[in-house]
Amino acid sequence: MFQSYGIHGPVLGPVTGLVIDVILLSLAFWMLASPDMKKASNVLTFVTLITSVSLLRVVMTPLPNIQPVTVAALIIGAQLGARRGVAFAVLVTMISNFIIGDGIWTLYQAIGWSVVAIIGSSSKIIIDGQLQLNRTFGYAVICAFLFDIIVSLSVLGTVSLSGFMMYLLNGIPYDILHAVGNVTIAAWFGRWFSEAITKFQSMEEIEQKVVDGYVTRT
Amino acid sequence: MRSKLLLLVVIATFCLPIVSGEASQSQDEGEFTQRWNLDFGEVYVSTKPISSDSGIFVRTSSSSLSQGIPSVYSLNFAGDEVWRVENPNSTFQDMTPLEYVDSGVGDCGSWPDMVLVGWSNGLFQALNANTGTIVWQYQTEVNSWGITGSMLIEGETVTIPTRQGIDKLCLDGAIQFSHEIGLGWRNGVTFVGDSYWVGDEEGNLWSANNQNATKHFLAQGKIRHAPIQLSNDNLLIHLQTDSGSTIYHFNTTSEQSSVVTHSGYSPGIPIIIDGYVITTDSQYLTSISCGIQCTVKDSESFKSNGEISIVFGTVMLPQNTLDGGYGHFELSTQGDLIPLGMLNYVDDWYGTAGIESWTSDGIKYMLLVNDNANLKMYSTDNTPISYDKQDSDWPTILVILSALILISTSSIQLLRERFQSAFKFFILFVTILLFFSFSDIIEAWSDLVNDEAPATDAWNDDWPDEWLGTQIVVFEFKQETIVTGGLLGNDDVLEATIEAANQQGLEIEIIESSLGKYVVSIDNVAGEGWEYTVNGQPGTVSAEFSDLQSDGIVVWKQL
Repeated sequence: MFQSYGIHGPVLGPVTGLVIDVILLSLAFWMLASPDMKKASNVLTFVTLITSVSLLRVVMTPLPNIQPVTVAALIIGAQLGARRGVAFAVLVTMISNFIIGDGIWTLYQAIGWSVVAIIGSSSKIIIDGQLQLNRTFGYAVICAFLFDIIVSLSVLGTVSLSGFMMYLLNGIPYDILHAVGNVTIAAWFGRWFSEAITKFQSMEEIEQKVVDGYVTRT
Repeated sequence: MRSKLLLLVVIATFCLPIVSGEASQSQDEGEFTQRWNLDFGEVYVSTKPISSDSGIFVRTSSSSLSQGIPSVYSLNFAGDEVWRVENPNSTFQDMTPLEYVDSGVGDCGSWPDMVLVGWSNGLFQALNANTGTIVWQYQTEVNSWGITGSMLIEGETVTIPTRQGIDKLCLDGAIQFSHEIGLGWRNGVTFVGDSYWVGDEEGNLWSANNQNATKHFLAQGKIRHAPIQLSNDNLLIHLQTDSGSTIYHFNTTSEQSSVVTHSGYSPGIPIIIDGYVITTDSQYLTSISCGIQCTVKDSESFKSNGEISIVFGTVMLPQNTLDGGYGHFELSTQGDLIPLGMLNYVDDWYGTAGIESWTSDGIKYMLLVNDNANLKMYSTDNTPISYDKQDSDWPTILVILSALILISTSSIQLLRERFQSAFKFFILFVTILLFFSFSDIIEAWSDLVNDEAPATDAWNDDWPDEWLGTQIVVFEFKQETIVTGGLLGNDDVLEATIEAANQQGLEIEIIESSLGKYVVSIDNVAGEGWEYTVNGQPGTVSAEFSDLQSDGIVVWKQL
């Protein structure tokens, strides 16, 4: 629904932009602050994940409202949990918008994808380490609409309520394309992406077990 | 098994449009083969399409914008649109035939190849035949209607029957004379002797020259065609009356008139063929021979109220009934009308538009259109039309090929009971289909959910009248406002914006985004963003997806 470049939220001034960036970054690092993220290899893997998805989003910009980040946030939330899902969502939004274009919508996009990651964390789309595709498709469709509604809220200050409703109505084809795009991405890359993260998770689990064992011995 | 069959049906349904799109080609009609047809929608086409070396021109009309916007189209010989000029203010059933003039230089200045258009809102436009841009335009008076009759082209001039006058202009737009006459409707102009002759709705004939216009009363009735010039410089008039119609011979020297015959209601537009005048109305098709006096040579029962055409040596005219079709007659050397039968087509209906025909390299071509606004081209050539589609076709071919590969793979995987794999290919096919039709979907959806505001809502009285009926783009900076008018032929807001920026020498920065193209800065000013309105209504989609009418007013405002 955040389809409009006729009406859109205001481009941020430098100070407001800086404040929002600091808030988002703080949130991201607070979410990341956990013992298992102190290991350099884990941090490196997480950074690679964020960079790859950010670049993918930038590359896919010409495709109208096809958002690889939504499915990625959903799976990462399911696989790594809400905290790292939110951190991932915030950092991907900030990095990709740094290239695509920054504005008040960055805040709403970060919130939108964070919500998707939180939904992913409680979605049970991964059972026994296996991505459940049919369930993922369902969540991917719901999250597409939910994300678009959240991001559309960014124009609320600039248009009336009736204007906002028209705005949502005009955006329905974009929402549908977002949903179909999500299902396509999930169908083609969901399992592969999930398995790639599993390795990351396994390393952490092993590390956590080692740390727990060390603490127990001492 | 049932689910597999169901999925196959769904897949077949998706493939159907590709197949049916091709099925409408090549319907044989005798020696002629239909090469293509083009449906203009709910509008009407009331006048004959015209052709030139460079292409085909056709006009549509309507009485309500909900039917469609009255437009002039330029098409290539393959039926593809080259340009289109719309006039949403001209909703009084346009029926002035289009005229094509070759480029020229003379006492009247110079002009390019042009299509001349008279609109029912009184606007007269000379359009560049190659681009559709306005070469010049001229506003005539409006009294419920504007221009509805046929114009007369002579060398370097055009003479126009306006709603209540007759105006003569050079082909560069300079006016030579303008005289007031009686109210007219579909009243064409003829030049005979040293005067221009035109009728009105009171049964008067008017003769006009550089100095003045003089009235000659013929009889009570309405003259709704260009007077027919006879060999002795007299005129023949088919006068519409309350009880039907009467055909008159008018002596331009003595100003005496005599009745030739009485005929049916609602006369069409008579023409001269091989020295015989052919008239038509709701009852008869009549051939008349004229010397000092005129006499009826032959008469056939037929209902036609529009244009009569000479098509490869025969007479053809649209039958203006629900059944439609075209009457086909041969005119003998004695003036007899020999019926050759009716020509019928699948979309027959009411119609008044004549038939355009020409021969090129030994191949005959015909353009047919009726009130269904479905333009059809027939030819005697059965080979595929070769025309330069350049690189525009390759992406389409590749997309169709990819779609076919995806849908075939999906079907194969389905039959192999690899449902997950079948779904992967199918959903990718759907995504690609959505992606390539997305701009059309957005535009259609936008049209559906948004109310259309008239351009008058945003019109500024300080702007010049020449901009009426054209596209206008306003850039509202914090410090100044730059207005560009007279733009034509831009399909969307972004296209018009770029043209306006180019005309003003303003640099415009546009980026691709996942939601369409986004205007970042204008003249290197980004401010806190730019918003646009169309006819005062805020834009709700990317500027590239926002349709723009031919008189649309776009305002870009710096935030």
